[in-house]
Amino acid sequence: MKIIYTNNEGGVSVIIPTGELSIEEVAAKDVPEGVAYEIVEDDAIPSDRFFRNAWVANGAAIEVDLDQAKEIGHTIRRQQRAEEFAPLDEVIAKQIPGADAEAAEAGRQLIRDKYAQVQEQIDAAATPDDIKTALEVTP
Amino acid sequence: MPITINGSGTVTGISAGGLPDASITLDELASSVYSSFSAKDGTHTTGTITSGTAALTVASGSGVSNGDYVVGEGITPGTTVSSGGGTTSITLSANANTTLSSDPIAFYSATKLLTPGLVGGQLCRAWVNFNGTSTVAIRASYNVSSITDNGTGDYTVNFTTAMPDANYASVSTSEHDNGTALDWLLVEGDIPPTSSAIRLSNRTNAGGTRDTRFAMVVIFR
Repeated sequence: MKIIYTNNEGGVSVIIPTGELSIEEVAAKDVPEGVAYEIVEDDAIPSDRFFRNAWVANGAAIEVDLDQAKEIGHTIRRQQRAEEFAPLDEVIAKQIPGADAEAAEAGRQLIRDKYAQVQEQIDAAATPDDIKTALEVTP
Repeated sequence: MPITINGSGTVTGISAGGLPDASITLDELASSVYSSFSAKDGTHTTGTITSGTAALTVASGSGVSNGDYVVGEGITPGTTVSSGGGTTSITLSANANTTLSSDPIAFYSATKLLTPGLVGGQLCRAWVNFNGTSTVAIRASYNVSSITDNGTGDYTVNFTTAMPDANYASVSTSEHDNGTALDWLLVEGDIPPTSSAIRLSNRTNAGGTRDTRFAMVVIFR
């Protein structure tokens, strides 16, 4: 058994008891005062935490807020793009002798085009799995 | 008459109404008052118990005595052996709050001092080892009622028995995976520790938050 409640940030906090106290005692002690909570079965908590910060409580169920999931998806997209840009940026910024700056710039354009497409796919996503697909993460 | 500790290990000179001569020996002090090295380490075995019951079956009852403190997942702090010491069928002083199936369990003498000079502040007040990824799960703990999973790499450790105040010291470790990521499990500065809980944030070397497989927290006060 676990306890869920909506936290100050609007997300879901999940309390995992150690077993030293009963679930009711843990709820009385560890849920912030005055906050509504639900005691749920273990399988009510998703094991996929890819969009953990987009979790919202709907009664005793946890759902993924699509708009917040898209924000997370865009953050990951920017990180992935920056990682792919980095070696090409280095060639251009440092004017490394023997390196082909034109090829590096062409490579950067390919990355821009790729991630512009990913951006469109994330914006158009109808489900969290669509966002993962756009990011080439196994749904 | 002065009280004398003799070379033979006896004490003499205690007047009428006190203890008779030779009733306290250094050997008795050594064996009956202070813990031996093995007593300090405790007796470790595995145990099986059903949540809500007090009947514990252990793999080995050797070294377990009635009155010993019992430490294990789901065992309420302060639980002792009521009966069955020395056997594999033990009755605890309090019902377990979780079901154990051949899980680690330890017994510590409740009647002996640990060692001269060791004082409360040198003892760990609480600790927990948990997996913060996938289905967040607590591996083992002491004096921790629960972990709150607040988000990615964002955890609160809640104490069963509160600390005397919020001025305790926490030690927390995280993991280094086989890639390039280095993690640090840090006190969340925006939410200072309280006597009842401490909030921790698992940070990567890039500054972001990340779930960690090995979160370990120890509290001293």
